[in-house]
Order: sequence, then C-alpha cells, then structure tokens
Amino acid sequence: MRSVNALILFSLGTFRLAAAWDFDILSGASEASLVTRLTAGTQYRYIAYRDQSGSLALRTCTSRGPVTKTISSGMAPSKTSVSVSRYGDLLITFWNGGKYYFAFHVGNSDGNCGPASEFRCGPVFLPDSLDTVGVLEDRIVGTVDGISQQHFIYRVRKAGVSHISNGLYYVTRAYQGY
Amino acid sequence: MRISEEDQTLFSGDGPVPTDLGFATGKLQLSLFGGTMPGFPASRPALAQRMGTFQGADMWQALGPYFVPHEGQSTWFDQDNQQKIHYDFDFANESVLVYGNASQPEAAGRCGADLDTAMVPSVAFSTATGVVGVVKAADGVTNPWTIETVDSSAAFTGVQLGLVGTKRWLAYQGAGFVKVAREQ
Repeated sequence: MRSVNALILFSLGTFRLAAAWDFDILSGASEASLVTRLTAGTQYRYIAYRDQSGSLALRTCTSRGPVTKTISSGMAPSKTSVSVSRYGDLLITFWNGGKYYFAFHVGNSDGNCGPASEFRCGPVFLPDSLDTVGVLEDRIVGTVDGISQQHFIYRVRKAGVSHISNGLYYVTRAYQGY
Repeated sequence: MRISEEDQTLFSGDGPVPTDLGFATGKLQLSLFGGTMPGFPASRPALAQRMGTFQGADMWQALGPYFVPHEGQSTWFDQDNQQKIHYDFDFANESVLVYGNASQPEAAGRCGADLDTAMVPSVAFSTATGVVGVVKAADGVTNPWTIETVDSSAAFTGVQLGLVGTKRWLAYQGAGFVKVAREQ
C-alpha cells in the first residue's frame, strides 16, 4: 500500500488544483468490482476481486482501515460483480470456468464459506440443467430484495450445446426454513 | 433449509451484457450494454426494467435505449425512483453529454458512474494514458464538466467509480494488480 497525492492538472483550458488522492494497490489482484452505497445510515465500501492465489477475496473499507477476507479459496473468479442492496445485503457474483457462482453474506455462521462461515456460496441455477460444459465466459449481476431473496441475471453464450438458447436469463433464489 | 430456484428466459439471442441490477419495492431494474435485443438498436446500451411481482418475462419493460458509442460508458439509474444518468464521452473533443434527471438520487451506482448526496454526478473512465475522473457541475446537464487525470502511471482498464459522501473512489485494473484511488 502506498499513498500518492495528485497535484496540478490542466483541464478544459485552465489550470486548477486537482483533488488529492490516496492510492491502494492490491498486488496480484484482478477481476475487481467496487461498490459504495449509503443506505439506512450505513456507508458500505466493498471491493471483491480475485487475489493472487486465485481465491475470491473481499476488501471491506472501514473507518479503521481495510479488512480483507478470503471468501472462497481457489474459485478463480472472473467477471466479478459486487452489490449492496438498499437493505444492506452484500452479494458477490462471478464466473468460474463454466458456471456462475454467488457469495451471499448471511452472517451468524449460517453460511458455508468465508471466515466463520458468514457467507453462503454456491452455483447459480443454469437453465435446462445446463452444466459446466458448453457455456462461454460471460457476466452475471445480482441483487437482494427485502426478504433476502436473491435475484440474478446472466448472459449465456453456448458453445457446442443445442438444448438451450443464447440469451439473458433471470433466476431467483430463496432460502426457506431451516 | 429448502432452496427454491426458478429461471426464465428474458430473451433469446445474442443479447446485451447485464451491467447492473437493482431492487426496489415492487421493481427490479436491470441495466444492459450492447448486443441486440428486440426493440433496441444493435450495439447500443439499453436500460430495461422489470416491474411488479416478477411473474412472467413479458413484465419486462424497456426504458432505453440510449446512445453510447463504445464500451466503457454506461448508464446509471436510481434504484428507487428510476431517475437515471446516461453519460457519453467524446474524449477527443473533451465533451461529455449527460441525459436524465437527478432529483432524488440515491447513493448507488456501478459502471463508473454515481451521484453524491448533493446530486452531483461523477463518472470515470480510463484511457491509454491514465484513469480519468470526471465531475459535472451540479446545476445542470449542459454545464461544462471538469476532466481530471487521476492516475497516469500506466495504462489501466476497467475503471469503476463509487462515492463516499462527496468523495470519489475508483478501482481499476493494472498489469498484475488492482489499484484503488480514494479522493482525500
């Protein structure tokens, strides 16, 4: 991590003092997604990314500094997307070599991944029992509603399969009971 | 615990890439980029919205398209009130065009654009010489934008922007690292 301040810039024909910036470098990181959101009086700042070991990592920026957690080891995420719903729910989605996956923050050790099992991780349902073969890398986005139901939209581009169509697909996912 | 999943096809074909999804009471909103979609010009970004109680693909309603010439530009929309900002750069001419209104923005956004609590939109994009942040004047669509080079230490890609209060945060990809720039 290092800090650098930007200085003077030339903009639109006039000199002016540029904003000062701090820079953090996440070495070896890629496929990052940033989200900031103020909701219900809480300011959320998350960066989800693939770390240098190929794991899904999450950096939470707090007033006391950044906290980095490994959410799912060796998942080799790409096309990562992180969102915070208006209810404050954190949801990460990504591609992993043939499937779309999600990591949903559930807290209270109710999950199956992440430190203290605070995340629920798993594949996102693909249409018509499509499995890991025959899908090209693409993007998925997701969000969470007020009853913790997750909503996903992803694009499918097939390669060598005939029983599905290319297109956009919408999936909902809900946990019911215990 | 029982997990229920259902899926449906929004449309078939070589469609646009989903770039953002937001939920508000009774509405699920999706922003898309590019592709070809019924009702949308080819290679143009689209903004689509899903209304109601999520029953049936025909409940999707197109709100776009808007005109953006290339990827790296996007659409921002307010998840509650449908207010949206669309930004369009002509970097060679240092011009920025913005559509939409911002009367009651909520601090949320992806794809390199966001609104602060004072309703000032910010967008960010990368060029071959550096990450560039852009801030528009607060009082109108047509006022000049301030273009600011944030980081010219290398060529970067995939710049994203968020706002913490009025301070811009950027995340962008370098060669073997991700860099996060936080406005002081």
